[in-house]
Formats: sequence, structure tokens, C-alpha cells
Amino acid sequence: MTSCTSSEKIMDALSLLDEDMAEEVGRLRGRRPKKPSFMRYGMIAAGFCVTLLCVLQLVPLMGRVPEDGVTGGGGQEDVSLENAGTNNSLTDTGLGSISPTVSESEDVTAGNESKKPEADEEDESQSGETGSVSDDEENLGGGTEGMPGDEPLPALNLRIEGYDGDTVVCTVVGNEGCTFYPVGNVVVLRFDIWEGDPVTENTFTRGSIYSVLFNGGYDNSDENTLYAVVAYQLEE
Amino acid sequence: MTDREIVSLYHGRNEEAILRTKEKYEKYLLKIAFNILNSDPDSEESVNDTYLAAWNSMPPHRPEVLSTYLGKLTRRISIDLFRKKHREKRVGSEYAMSLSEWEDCLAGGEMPEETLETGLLAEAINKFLRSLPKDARNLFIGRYYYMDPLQEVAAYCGMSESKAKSLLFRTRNRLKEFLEKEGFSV
Repeated sequence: MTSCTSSEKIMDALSLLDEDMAEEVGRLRGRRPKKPSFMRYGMIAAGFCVTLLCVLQLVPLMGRVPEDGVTGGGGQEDVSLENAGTNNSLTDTGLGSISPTVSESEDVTAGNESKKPEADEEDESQSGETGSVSDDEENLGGGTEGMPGDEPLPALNLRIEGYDGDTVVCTVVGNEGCTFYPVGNVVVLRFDIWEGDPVTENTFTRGSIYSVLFNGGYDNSDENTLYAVVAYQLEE
Repeated sequence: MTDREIVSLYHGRNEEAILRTKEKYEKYLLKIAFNILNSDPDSEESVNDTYLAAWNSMPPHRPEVLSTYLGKLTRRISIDLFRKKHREKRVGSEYAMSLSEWEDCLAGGEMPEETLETGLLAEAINKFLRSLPKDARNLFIGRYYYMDPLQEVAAYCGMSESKAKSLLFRTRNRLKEFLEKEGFSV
């Protein structure tokens, strides 16, 4: 075995480095340091563009606080629904013939008010700008006292307990104006989702508190199931 | 003037060879010397010795790449000068830094000089370096052959200083393992 070595011996041996390798580095030394690559600049630019797009998308939404007093969260940008795309079928809810009669609306948020039954309105079949909502009490699936529609809408404050890929399980933590859902009740939150519904673009977070606006089609709701159009996050 | 022409001047024993060499490579050689010696006067002395060594070695040598050949001479002369002048204490040159980096990896004990086969060791190191990816190899040579500061070598190898540092650390350890496999006790 050849005995060696100390750091100095290694450095001595490096003096006998093959010239082609030394030459290659010698050429590098003569150049200017590499500038960041095009790819790097591209990534920085792409990041900037994405941020800019997000900001531009959020700015118009920030002012859209519902007129009915639901506060917190600052608007719809806080609303989130995880895997909301899987929740777009209302026919397989196991609740019978649930076929929301709310006609498709381009602007769901704006439609909340128009879908909300007017207290003074004698005609129970709501027909507004955004569509008609059948208020047939036979479809309420239980007593009608205190049902949404008899109470001023909204709002329920719900704490998100979980999401099973189809529905959001929540605990009622506040029910001002809507005693039909007692505080402490666990309800399943479903979304009347159709194409273009902004809810589908968001994600719920476990433990977060949301204020929920009912779907105009509250006739499909019961004490355990709640159809909402939008939910505003109140706190993390 | 091309390298080939300068080498021809050396072979023709024309003293203009040294002037032309100085003109073309002095800055380059001073940089190598300074990395080792960390002293301007010592670096100049080392470079002057390099011209003399070049004069004495050509002929018979006829290097293909004059810069590499001269750089190798400067490196060797500078290391010798460093040892001569700083036998007792090490100063903060890049050479001293390089040595201390190696000491983290290698056993501290000095082996008897007579048992060291520098040629065999150099051969093993060359073999190891050829097995490395280009980036790692260039970084290693830049740092331990040219003894450029880490920041500088990282810059011309196109990587961050921290990446260069960790890559050098891994390469030193791999070299140690390699040398052990090759029969060197390190």
C-alpha cells in the first residue's frame, strides 16, 4: 500500500494535473461570470405575471360584500372550496329529487339577493332577474317553522370540520337570523354548483369559520343539509 | 503574438520570449501566485522565477498551451515559496485556506515523505477528476489547482457560493473514498 497523505501532498499531486483539465478551467477563468440563464429570467417573469393576474382578479371581488350584513373576510376572495369540482352533482345527494330550480346565473354572488325571497312578496314563486326559485313547502322535508325562508336570510356561521370530497361537514357556531339550525348542530353543507359558480374555484380549510349564504333554492335544505351559494370566511 | 510563436522564441534562445510572455501572461500568472502567497512582492518574485523556469525548460519542452504550462510552473514555484517563507505559520492566502479545507477531510498525521509517491497520487487524482461531472470537476480544479477564492470560482462555474461549497465538500469526501479504494491511506 502506498502511504500518504496530508493536505499538502494532495496539493502537490494536483500540480501534476492533466493539462487538458487545467486548460478547460483556465478558459472558464478568462470568461466573465455566467449571467443568470434565460430560464431563470423566464421564471421570475412568470412569477410576476401570475402574481399580477391574481391581484387583478381579486381587486374587483374585494368590494363585493353582501348587503345583508355578512361581515368579515372582506369578500369572496376568502371563500374556498376544496375539490369543489367534485361537488357539482345535486342529483346524487341521497335526498330525493333534488333538482335546484335556480336557473343558471352568470353572477352567482350578485344573484344571492335576487334569489333571496322578499318578505313582503306575496308571490311565493320567486322569479327574479337571475331565475325562478320554487318555494314549494312540500319539498322542505320536515317542519316548516324556522326554515330558511321564514327567517331573514342569511346567515349561519359554520366551523368547517371536514370535507369528504363531495360535501363539507360543519358545525353551526352562529345562527343569527336563522334559528332553524341550532348552534352546535352538525350540518352538511352542499353547494348548488353549476358551471361558472365561483364557489367551485375555492377551497375550504378545516377549522375555519364561514358565514354562509343560502341558495335561493332553500326548499332543498333541511336541518341536516344546507344548500349554500357562497360562504364567506370569517376567520382562520 | 501566438503561443506557438512565443515558444519558438524560447527555442531560438531569443530573450524577447520572456518579454512577450510577460506582456501576455503576467497578470494571469500574478493572480495564480497571489492566490497562493497572498503577497504582492512574493507573487512578483514567484512570477519572475516562472520566467526563468520557462527559459530553462524550453527547450526541450514545447507546450501546446503555453498559459497552462506557465500556470503550472507558477503554481509549483509559489507553493515552494510559500512553504519556505511560512514554514512556521500560515497566512490567510487561498492556498492556506485550501489546505485547511483538506484537513477537515483528511487525517491530520503527516506520513513520511519518502513513502509518498506523488506521481501515483497524481495519477489517481487525475483518474478521479475525469470520473466527475464537468461542473464538479471544474469547480474542484478552480478551487484547488488555481486556488481561486470560493466566490470567484463559483461565479465562473455558474453556481451559487453555497452550492459550490457543498459540492466541494462532497467532492473532497468522494476523493478520500476513492483514494482509499486505490490503496492510499488517507
